[in-house]
Amino acid sequence: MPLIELSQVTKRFAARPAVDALTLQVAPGEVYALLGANGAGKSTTIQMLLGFITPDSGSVRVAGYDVVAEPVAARRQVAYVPETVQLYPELTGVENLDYFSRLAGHRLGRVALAATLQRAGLTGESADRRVVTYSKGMRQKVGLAIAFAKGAQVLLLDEPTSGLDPHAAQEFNLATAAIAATGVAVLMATHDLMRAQQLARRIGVLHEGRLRIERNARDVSLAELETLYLAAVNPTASHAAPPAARSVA
Amino acid sequence: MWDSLIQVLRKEATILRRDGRAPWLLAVLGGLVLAAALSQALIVRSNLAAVDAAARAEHSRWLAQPEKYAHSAAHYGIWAFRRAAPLSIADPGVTAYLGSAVWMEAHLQNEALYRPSQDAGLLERFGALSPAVVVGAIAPLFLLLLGYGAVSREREQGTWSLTRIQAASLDSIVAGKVLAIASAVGVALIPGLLVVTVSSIVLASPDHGLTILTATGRVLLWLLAVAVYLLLISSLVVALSSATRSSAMALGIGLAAWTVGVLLMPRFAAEAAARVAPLQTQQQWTLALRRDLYDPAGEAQLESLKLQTLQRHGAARVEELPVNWVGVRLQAGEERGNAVFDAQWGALFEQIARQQTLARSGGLASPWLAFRSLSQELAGSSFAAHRDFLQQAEVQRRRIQRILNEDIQGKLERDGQRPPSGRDVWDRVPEFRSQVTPLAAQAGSWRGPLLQLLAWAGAAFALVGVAARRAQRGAAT
Repeated sequence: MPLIELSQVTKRFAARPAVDALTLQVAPGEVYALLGANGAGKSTTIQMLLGFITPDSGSVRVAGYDVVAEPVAARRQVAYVPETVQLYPELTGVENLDYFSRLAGHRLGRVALAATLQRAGLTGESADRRVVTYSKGMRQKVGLAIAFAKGAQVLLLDEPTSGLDPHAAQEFNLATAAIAATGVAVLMATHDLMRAQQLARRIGVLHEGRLRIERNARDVSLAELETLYLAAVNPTASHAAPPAARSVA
Repeated sequence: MWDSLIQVLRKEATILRRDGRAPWLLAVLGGLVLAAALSQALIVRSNLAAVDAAARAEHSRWLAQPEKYAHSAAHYGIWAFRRAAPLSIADPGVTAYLGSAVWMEAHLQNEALYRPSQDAGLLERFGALSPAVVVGAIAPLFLLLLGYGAVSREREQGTWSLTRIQAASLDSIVAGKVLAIASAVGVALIPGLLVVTVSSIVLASPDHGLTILTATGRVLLWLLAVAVYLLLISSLVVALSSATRSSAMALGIGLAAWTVGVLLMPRFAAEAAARVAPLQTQQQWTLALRRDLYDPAGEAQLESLKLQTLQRHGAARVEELPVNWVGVRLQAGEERGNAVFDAQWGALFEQIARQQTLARSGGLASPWLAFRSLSQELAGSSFAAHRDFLQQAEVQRRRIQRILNEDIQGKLERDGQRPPSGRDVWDRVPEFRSQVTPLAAQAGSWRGPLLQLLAWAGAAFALVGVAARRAQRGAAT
């Protein structure tokens, strides 16, 4: 059973479709990379999965729960790492993790908190420093640790490595792969073709709210992916016309 | 639900502690209420000591008067002093603007004289900033400064989406924020409120209608009203923070609401009540009182009483009566005067009560007004408490006149000589001790403000619930 299911989902803002008849599924343990230019509908898709935006039509389900009809049950199954993880600057990394994991209903001891942060790549004394002193990469790691601690079946990532240096982005990808390996379904919205190609099992390209291309990541090289992407987001340019979306699941 | 609430409470407390502004704000507020409580406690203690000493001296002066005609003693007169209610440490209410002593004499129900505000020293002027004013008028400003960004700043920072995604009940998260702000201010108020509690219990006197138990009950009720008030204002602040698009807007609207609710509404309510239900001027009232008091019909009534008395005793002249007619006539004159006083003072009190009810209806538009009225009633420093003092003094005045007139009635005049009275008669007059009226006997005065405060609390809690549900929806920011 897929853990993420969008079926013919449409969302309009002021009559302009932000997401248009989107159908998409992500299986347990799968990483799905959703590519697209700014305004393509990636973030709107994630916000609908979080239940922050209600679709105009279609069905959005997370771990079997309809996010509109059963928002709280659906949210219990979802972890989310945005482009910039915002934490309480007055609290330390450990305190932020402790707070958010307790809100999610998990009480972790001091050792478990440190281990979770370590698993997300945040080690040493930095966990006990106030977040106001953190770099963006460190915040992203705390965000990932919060996602780990929640033990959710679904992880939504919205441009999670944007602005990170290559090393930090690589570390983030490794941690994400590790979480997917535990059976978590990961949907990652990103501009980063290389990270998408490295991390994802499947890649979809959104343009003007429609899923233009869907490929198995192993079937395309990075160069081919770039050509497909450019053709999808700018069909009038001199790239080869993209083939219609097709399922490879 | 409770676990999330406690987590939010803990987190908010940590953030407030580490915030550069909050500890200073709270220290200033705590200092204010402590200073107000200490100065007010000193004022009340000194008032009680002065009133007790004056009352003892006055009673001694009464007892020490030499033998004299009893009606001369009735004009010799005696003061009745109002002893401040101990809980006026928390809220001196209107006592400073009303008289604190009544001159009790024959034939007249006098007004209360000597308003504390007339000769207030520096200490008392600072005392005008009472704990009730700090809690009711100033603390909401601090609650606003601490809480205007409770939800809006989280939305601006982006932590709100991460909070919402944890699937904890937003009701409990919002409730946690309300409790955190209210508790922070509550903790800052503790030293001052402790002074209020201990002092008002220690100064309670069973001789003046307050046992330690009843004094404790009153303080606890007042503290409960404070707790409800702080919670309701915190709820309004958090609801505002949740409803507005930015923290700056929340702060702006909150400051405007505070200005209207705390600074403008009390003035507006008082002015509107004075226009809608104006009081007679003092001159009009005095003229009406004198008109009724010196009505020529009174002489005719006395003449009729004289005839009835002579008839009853089968006498042709008052000198043949077995009782001293002068005493009978004096008492009849008192009773006739009493009826006039009851009518005129009663009408005046009714006018004041009508005006006060109208002014207090402003409590529906301002929680500060609702709290202020309830606080004064609980503290025994409202107009209703002053009216009770006037009535107690009048009861004492009438008792004195009756004792003296009955003494005259029992002593027949010989050879035109007025019979003197002495210590045995003066002893029959009990020492006047003003009493704090039990709350149960004053339900009509505090029921309205209590209902207003509870209505505000209900509305504020409902609003914050609506805010939580609105926050549950809406896009992440």
